Amino acid sequence: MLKHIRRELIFNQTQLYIFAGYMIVFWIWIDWQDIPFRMSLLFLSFVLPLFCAASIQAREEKFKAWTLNCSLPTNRKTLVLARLITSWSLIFAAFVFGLLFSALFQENPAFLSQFLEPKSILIFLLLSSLFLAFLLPFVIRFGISGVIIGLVALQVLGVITLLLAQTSSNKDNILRSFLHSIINTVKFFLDHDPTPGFLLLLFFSAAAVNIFTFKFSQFLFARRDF
Amino acid sequence: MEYAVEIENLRKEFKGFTLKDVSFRIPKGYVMGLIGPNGAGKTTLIKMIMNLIRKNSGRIFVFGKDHIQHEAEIKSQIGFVYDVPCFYEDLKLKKLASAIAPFYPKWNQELFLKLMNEFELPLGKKFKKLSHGMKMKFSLCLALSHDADLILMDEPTSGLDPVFRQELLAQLSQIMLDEEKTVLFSTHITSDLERIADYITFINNGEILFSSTLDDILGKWGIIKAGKDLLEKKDIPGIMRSQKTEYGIEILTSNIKKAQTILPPDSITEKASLEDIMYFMSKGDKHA
Repeated sequence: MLKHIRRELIFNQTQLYIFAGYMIVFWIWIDWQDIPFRMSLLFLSFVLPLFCAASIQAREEKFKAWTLNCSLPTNRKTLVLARLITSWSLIFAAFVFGLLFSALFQENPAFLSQFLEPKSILIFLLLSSLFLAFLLPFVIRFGISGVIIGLVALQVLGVITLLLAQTSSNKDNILRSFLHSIINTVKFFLDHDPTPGFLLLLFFSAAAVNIFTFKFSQFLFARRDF
Repeated sequence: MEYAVEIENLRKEFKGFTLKDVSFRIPKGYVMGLIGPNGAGKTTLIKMIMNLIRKNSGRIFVFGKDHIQHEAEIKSQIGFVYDVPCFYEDLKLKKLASAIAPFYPKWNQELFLKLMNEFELPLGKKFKKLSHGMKMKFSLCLALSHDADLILMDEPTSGLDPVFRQELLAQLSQIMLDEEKTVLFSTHITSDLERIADYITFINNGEILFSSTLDDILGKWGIIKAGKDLLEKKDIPGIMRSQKTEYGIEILTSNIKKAQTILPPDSITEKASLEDIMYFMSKGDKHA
């Protein structure tokens, strides 16, 4: 597996530099705008998987390098696993790099220390896993243009949902309930006491989501022709 | 006889194109040229051996092993040269090689550097800065540096200038001095194969029309030029295709010697080149 991760890192080294630059800008922005901790954590949970998984895939598509990767002495299952592990390695590297960089100029150490609490890390892990579970199979099946279309479609759907929820006279309409249930779920996780049981629940939920992501991505990748 | 590649009833259906139950075998240690016009199914076939395209039915064995069940093991014995090189273009050649080399247990770094030197490929140059010919050479260089027993090349000479083509063919001739190596070489430039191929397989419209030794084809196949009424009067042995011309008829036969015995004295016979055969098999009229 190490040679696969090494291959992914070599092939995507340009992206790593861009990503590092992006993380610096992101942490400066958080500090400058006084973005609250919770919002920063949520934002990171979505931006990091998007950047890591999607940018690697975008490069692969740009150079049609799937032919190269799939012609190496390996099988598609290992390639998918390598992609998932590399994505996670990059997500955590970016997370740690961002914190270290931020520590250089952040005046409030308590703000940063919140990111290092087990509950914060596990919530980040779960939310990132959920987003990756959507992103990785989607990218494998529809390519990067598919992801862009998918994200735009989700955004449009979100706007329509919000508009309908706002304009509807029925306060208990299904859209409003759906939005509230999402917000409440996230709030529940963020507000919950960090008991050992809860932390284990977060960990195993994230693990289960990743197993699903791997199996589903593998299923889709095995059915692709290059 | 040991076979490097055995393909049995291989089928793949695309929208608008079907590879129709293809079967052929490549004996170990020989060069097979896969010829056919553009869109005949050559690339599809090679990609299916590499499991880049999934089959609908049929079986592929490489060195006697199923190409899916033993995918990684088989691929480590294959050197694959792509029709369009598909490397990360913004990376230097040494970076690309350093990412690929660890996958091959028999990777020979000394040989790689020697080939890079012979091909005049600078390690520090980015892939995108290479000409098409140099890209193909780099692809070949990687394919040869891990002591592959089977080399699959999809249109490696397409788009190359004559100097590069000759160099590449000379390199292939060198490889073939090692009688353990097997090569499957797809091309529509048939003159390349007349120099190096032992076997020729002709594919057209997703169907294998013939698969035979080059000597057999060049020795036995021929073209008959005769009057327009020849086919009505005579039953030509080994007739494959015919084509009416302004002056009469041209017939491609797979048994020119036998055909010569029954031809009228005013007819002309000549040996068929691979190009003639490809042209007639693609464009000529069929005979039952």
